[in-house]
Amino acid sequence: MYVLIVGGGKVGLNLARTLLDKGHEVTVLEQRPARVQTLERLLGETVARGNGTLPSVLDAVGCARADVLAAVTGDDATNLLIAVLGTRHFGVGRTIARLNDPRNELLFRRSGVDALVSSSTILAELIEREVAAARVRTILSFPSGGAAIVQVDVSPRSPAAGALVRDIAWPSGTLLVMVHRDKRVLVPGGATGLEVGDRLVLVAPADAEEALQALLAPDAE
Amino acid sequence: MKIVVIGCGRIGAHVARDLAASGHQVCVVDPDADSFGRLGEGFVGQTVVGPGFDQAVLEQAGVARADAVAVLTNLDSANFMVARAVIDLFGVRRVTVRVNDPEFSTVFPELGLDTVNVPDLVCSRIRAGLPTGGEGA
Repeated sequence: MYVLIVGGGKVGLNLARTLLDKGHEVTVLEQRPARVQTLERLLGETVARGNGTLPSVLDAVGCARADVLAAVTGDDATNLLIAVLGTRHFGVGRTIARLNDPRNELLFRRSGVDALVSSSTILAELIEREVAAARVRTILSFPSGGAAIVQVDVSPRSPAAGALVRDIAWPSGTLLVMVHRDKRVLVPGGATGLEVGDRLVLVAPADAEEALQALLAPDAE
Repeated sequence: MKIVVIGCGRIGAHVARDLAASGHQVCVVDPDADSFGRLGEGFVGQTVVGPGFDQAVLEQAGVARADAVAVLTNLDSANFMVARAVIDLFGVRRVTVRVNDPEFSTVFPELGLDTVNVPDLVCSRIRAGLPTGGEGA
């Protein structure tokens, strides 16, 4: 597979290394002369110098035969133009653009870029997930049924901590499906004891969330 | 008519002044507040400080109600992004984009933009004035 990477900053460099390790053909296109020197030292022959927004420059590095074009500079306007040129002018099968400012996401999507990579969005989602772990979180909701698959961690002050599944006062209509403990997955029965830190997956009616929160993670309330 | 001009360099400032002087309601956008000095004291239009591809800035400039938008910075990639935002997110139909590098004079129209290309204009004007009608001797 031939991957053309435009932008040889940290993202472009590490992307190139990873792809080269996997045996792919890679070109990194970079404009800044000093950075080109650094890249040449680290990557050798795979580096080209030029302004990647110019069609003539993209043409010279074989954009038309690229299987994937990744526009990963630190400038959103540059990445958008390169990705759109790749798709519409060169007919590249798959274009990926780095999104530096998440506020530009809608514009990138409207312009027909195949995939967006936004480190700030990814980080924000990870942080939210960590913070939200203490709360009942909906993994999947069924639009018609009024029920959902939810996830929640058993907190230290939970009345269910240390109790057997059959002795716990589950809200009506809920079903405990899975227990994640120490990277293992348990299929619980009535005799399974719950521990602090267990990550539970349950099927629950939409109106049971509050009761589950009180039962399993009262600390977060 | 309400016209929004993106970029207050020499070209943007001239266009904004000219349109305002002929009675249009003009708003100029530029990230550099000092650039509005080019508009001169008699300028009666509105100015908004900020990058033209920022949706909040475009909103503040009233792009949604604009009859026409002129995108006139000296950076082609920025012009492309602003033009796409104005067309795709605000639904403006009359958008004119300045082309700086002649390479884009055929590529931008291919990507759906209406362009004005200063170097090409100069060339065609000179050719038109040549006695042979522009063909090489």
